[in-house]
Amino acid sequence: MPPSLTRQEAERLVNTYADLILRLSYTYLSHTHDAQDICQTVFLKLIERRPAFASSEHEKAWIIRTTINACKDHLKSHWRKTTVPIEAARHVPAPAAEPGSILASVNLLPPKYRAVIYLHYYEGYTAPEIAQLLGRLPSTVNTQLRRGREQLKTLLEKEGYP
Amino acid sequence: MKDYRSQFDALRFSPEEKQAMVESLLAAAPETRRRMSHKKRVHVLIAAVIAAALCAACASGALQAAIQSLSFFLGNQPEQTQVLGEMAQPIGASVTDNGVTLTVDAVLGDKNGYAILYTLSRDDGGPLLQNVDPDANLYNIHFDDGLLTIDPDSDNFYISPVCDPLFTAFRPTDNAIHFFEEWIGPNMEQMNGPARVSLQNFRAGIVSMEIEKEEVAVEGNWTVDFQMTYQDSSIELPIGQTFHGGTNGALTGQIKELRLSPLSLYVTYSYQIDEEKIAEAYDPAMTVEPKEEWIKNEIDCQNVETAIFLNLKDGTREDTGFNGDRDSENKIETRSSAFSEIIPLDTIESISIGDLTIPVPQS
Repeated sequence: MPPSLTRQEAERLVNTYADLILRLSYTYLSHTHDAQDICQTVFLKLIERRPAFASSEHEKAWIIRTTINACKDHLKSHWRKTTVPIEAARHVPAPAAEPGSILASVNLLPPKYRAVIYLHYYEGYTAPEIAQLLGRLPSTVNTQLRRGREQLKTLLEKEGYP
Repeated sequence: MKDYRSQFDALRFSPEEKQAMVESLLAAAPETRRRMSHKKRVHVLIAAVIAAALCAACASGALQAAIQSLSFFLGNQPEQTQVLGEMAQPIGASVTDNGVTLTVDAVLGDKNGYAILYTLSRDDGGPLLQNVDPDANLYNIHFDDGLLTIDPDSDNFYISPVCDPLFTAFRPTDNAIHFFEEWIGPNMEQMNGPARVSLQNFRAGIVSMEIEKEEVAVEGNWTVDFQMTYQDSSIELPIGQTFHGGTNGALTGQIKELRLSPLSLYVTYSYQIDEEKIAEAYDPAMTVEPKEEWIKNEIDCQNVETAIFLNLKDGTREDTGFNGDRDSENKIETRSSAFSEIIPLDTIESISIGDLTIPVPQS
């Protein structure tokens, strides 16, 4: 029987990672309806055994990897393809992606490009680190970053990004 | 990217939602074991399906198992699996090394390329990855090297690296893994003939509660010869029409080739760009670039700015993306896009290229 989860630990997990899981889920799913369910899935998997990670970076990498797996499972799930109920409810409003904005342009990219761009430009991971997180070859991630940048070229230059 | 970052900064749970999440976690923690049991039952089911796929005597069962695996990558709705059943050509060629068998399960494709489904499985029925924590997360799944050659013994052989296949959801306890590689693009063509695939050493990175990272390998050299044969399911669509696209309608194009299959779209068009129309769209309030530089950059983007959509009968539209090739000297653009999932042709109403809409003939 695993030790019970303390309130302090539950608060630490939620405060540290809930927003990360929400944002990463958004890059994959393009909506926030199911982000809370994905948070629950990831946290419950984490507290099932709860030993210490080697480092905070190790724990964060595990959270990211598990979130991605949960999103992929969600996308492939038969149940997801049915109609989302109107009271889909308690969901965080998705960011308003104004036409012409970078976020709107990023949202037009395939999901695998969106996640790479999010992890690089928002979370600050390098291409080799992203390759490990996403289960891809480093060369693939570099190609995806390059193609994503090409497709965002004009908008990135307007923002002053090299 | 400041704009991008600030928009994501704004995406966060409220303090109330986080508190609700904490309470929900505290209440749900004792339920965890039952949830994990449900997932393990699903894994057993998948293993049973894979075992059925490997039964040499089950010829029609092999095709059904291949369709089930292909549906993981290409869509699992009934109309999609029906199309997969019509397109997929079962192969079944295999080779074993070091107690692990590589099987070429099925091929499918169209005039714009091909896709191949493979399985790697351990013959004794045990987990493909040995001595791995059953609850570990896997990452960076790959082969050390992989090559596909078509018509290997002729002077016109085609060779391609097997470098970035898609893998099925794979857990450390699984006996087998399916993977899928698709090569569809503007410079591809229908590939039929004798083929040979070679793969070396299967590897997976592991991160678990105890291990920050580690790698396990299934060592082996697998080379399989098989006959690459598949039917092209493309339809040719009317050509010769003129359309406008890009900034302010600055691009004028004429369709040269247009074909559509449940896997992909292929279009070639000639184009001209009206620089005056681009210049008319210049707004110094919207850019910090000098006008000449802005116009030059916009000219480069006109083909990318010309969107190509599939208009589906359910009222939705699919953006076919940007994959293409360009002959700048002769001003010929080729766009060829593999769809993320099978799209049955009878679900497509029309194709939009810029301001042109081309109906898709209904059979």
